[in-house]
Amino acid sequence: MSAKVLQGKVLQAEVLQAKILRAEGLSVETWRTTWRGREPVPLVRGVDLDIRTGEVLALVGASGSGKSLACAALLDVLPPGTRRTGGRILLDGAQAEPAALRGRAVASVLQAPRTAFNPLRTIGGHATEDPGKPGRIAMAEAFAAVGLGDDPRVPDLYPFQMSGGMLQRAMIALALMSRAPFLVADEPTTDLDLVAQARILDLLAGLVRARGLGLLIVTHDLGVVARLADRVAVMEAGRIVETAPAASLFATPREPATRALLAAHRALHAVPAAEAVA
Amino acid sequence: MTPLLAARGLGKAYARAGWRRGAPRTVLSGIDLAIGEGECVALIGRSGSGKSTLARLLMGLEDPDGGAVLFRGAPLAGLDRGGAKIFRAAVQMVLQDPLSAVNPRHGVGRILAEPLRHLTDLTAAARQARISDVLDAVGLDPDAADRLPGQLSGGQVQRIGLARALATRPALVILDEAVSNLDAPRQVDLLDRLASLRRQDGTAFLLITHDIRLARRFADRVVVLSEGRIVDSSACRPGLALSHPAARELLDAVLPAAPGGL
Amino acid sequence: MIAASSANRSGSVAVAGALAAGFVLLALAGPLLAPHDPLAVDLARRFEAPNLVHLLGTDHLGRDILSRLIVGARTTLGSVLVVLALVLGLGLSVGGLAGMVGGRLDAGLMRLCDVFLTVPTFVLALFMIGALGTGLVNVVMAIVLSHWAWYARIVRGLVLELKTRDYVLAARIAGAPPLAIFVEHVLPGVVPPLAALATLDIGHMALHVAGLSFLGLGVQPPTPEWGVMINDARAFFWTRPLLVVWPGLAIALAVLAFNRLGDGLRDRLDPTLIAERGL
Repeated sequence: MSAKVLQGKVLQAEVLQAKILRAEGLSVETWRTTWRGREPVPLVRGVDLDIRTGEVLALVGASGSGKSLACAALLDVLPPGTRRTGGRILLDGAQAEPAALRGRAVASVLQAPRTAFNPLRTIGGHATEDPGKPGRIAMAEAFAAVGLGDDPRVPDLYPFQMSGGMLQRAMIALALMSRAPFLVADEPTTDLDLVAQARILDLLAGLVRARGLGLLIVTHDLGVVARLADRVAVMEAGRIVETAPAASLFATPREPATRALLAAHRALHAVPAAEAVA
Repeated sequence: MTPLLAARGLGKAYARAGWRRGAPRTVLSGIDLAIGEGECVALIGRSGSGKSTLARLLMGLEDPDGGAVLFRGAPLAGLDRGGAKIFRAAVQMVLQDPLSAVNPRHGVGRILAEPLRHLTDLTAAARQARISDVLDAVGLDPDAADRLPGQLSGGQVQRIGLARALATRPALVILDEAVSNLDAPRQVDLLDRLASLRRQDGTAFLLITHDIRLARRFADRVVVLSEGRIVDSSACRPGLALSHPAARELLDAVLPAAPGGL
Repeated sequence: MIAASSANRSGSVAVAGALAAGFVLLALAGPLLAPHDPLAVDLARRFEAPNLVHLLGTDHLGRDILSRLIVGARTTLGSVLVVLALVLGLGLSVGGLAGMVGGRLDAGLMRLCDVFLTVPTFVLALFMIGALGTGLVNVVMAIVLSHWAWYARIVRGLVLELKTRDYVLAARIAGAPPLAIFVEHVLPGVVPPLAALATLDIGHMALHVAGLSFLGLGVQPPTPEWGVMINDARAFFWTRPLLVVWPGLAIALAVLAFNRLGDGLRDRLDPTLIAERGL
């Protein structure tokens, strides 16, 4: 009994020290019903991802390219109607169950923070099951790290009393409290306006630097990639078509899919020549 | 010249929810805004700044608590039945989420015919012809009229929403965050389409967005909304000249075009 | 495992559907199908056991039980259909009006519903029959009055939910007047769950009609009706129990069939369940 607990503790310590989270050959499919019966429809095909601590990996692609499903497969939180058909997860080279890693080695931040919280519980109630002193100190620390530490009322607020940006901060604080070395963020700023988005991205960049987190960020916006990412994986039709350091991807894109994304991105940024800001 | 659509001292407040009714929450106050024929105005602001409420007031979908909306000089509140019909046909809106804005049980043809049936006197045959025209204008095949929205891709449904707004040949189309949440290729595609419609038909646009990049790319003039008031405005050419802190905040939030701020 | 149980369930729904269709057919074509005149008294052949001439035997007046059951289906189920039509019509118009218009009209109509919802069916029926006399029409009216408010409330709830959809806002922008919005965009969303509920209620209402007739308040003898038949047979329950069993079985089967069909329809049409099933 005590040996088992000890083993668990050792395992936990190892997990917290992990340096590389690797996904190999992730495949996801759904199925459609035809008159002949069920036909599988592949959505994600053999996706490999390497997340290293202290580094930001961006997974980009147009809508429907399968990037969010690949991320869900990594976390083992696939939506109903889809299933994982292949692939394995390695933590520092040792195979691991995705469900066992979630919340221990990998914390996650979702797209729509409002639906991720129980509307009947306060933010503090979500943060700690343990109302004792250690729990509260850990919570105060995490809230301070995401910029919610200044207002002592925050733990007592209900989700509906907070803005989208505050909720997303609170979700990141909950992720930090798990002390997991890896963080997966699926479109964490899509529901926010640009100002709130910029602040959340600043926060994430700061956390990667200060705590050496390994961050996987899923996004359709190359602006987010430019702001944050060290390496980029580009997805199209369920496959990763190009992986490159962010700077070289922007400078010398190799694949047509990458070039198309970049062209649209640059068209939006095209600014009239004489931009004068008072 | 009388502006196409104008707001004069527009204000709106909502009652607070809950058991204890406190003072109403003011969402908009003292809004003055004029959109000329063929003009393209961008209304920018953070979420919660009152942009969507202003859109609903300008569309006559809600009544203001103060001030008035003027359509070609005539207050909306004073329009008779015929006048209201002309206003509806002339000022149209594209909603934010294209898929939820179409009835999943209705075919595309029926969706596009709806404004034509209620707002024009076209015969059934003329309506069919107009439906083919607008489908063509947004780059869809006429066959799409027989499909259900669920059988189309997200981008195609987006274009159906635009086609419906264009069906009555409106003088002004309000786009309520209809561009912001698309991915970049779709944003560029949609903005290019709108620009060519402007050139062809002289349609005016009110682009409501929190993304100053879209505003800068598409509009003639930018108006900044913050906490229910218009705090700044500027022409887009030769360059934006915005100085209010709320406007600066939106400008500074624009993400870099390339890594390392290049 | 899951697939097998869902196949089982859809199988039982198919059986229930066939049974319900059979009952409806009986109600529609009853007099054509009945082998004998259900009213023909033949005192010489009282209390006959089931035989080749009278498949289910005869009752205390020598009338053919099978024929009375078949023709009785029309009275029982026919009156239920009238009840349903009235209840749905009232429910849709009152609930639809309250939901679409809102404000004070909504509040007023809902308080009216509350008043009707507080009175139990049988109490209301007894009151009506006391005031207006016995008869099928009064029984039907009593059941309608005690049920419509329930439907009106459900319709209002559905309308309020559907009204907030973006496509309703889009229809307003397209210039659709409130009536057109209700008919084209709201009603199609109200009808499927309402149809499922109404089907579930058919059995329940048939019980009311039969029950009130059994008490002698509704259909009067000698008109064939299942509740009346049970009442007639009550006196001979100890000596000829089959006389009670046949109409009792008919009522039980009809109630079960329509309930199961209603369950099936609800499973089929409930959008939340459809979402759970995935693709």
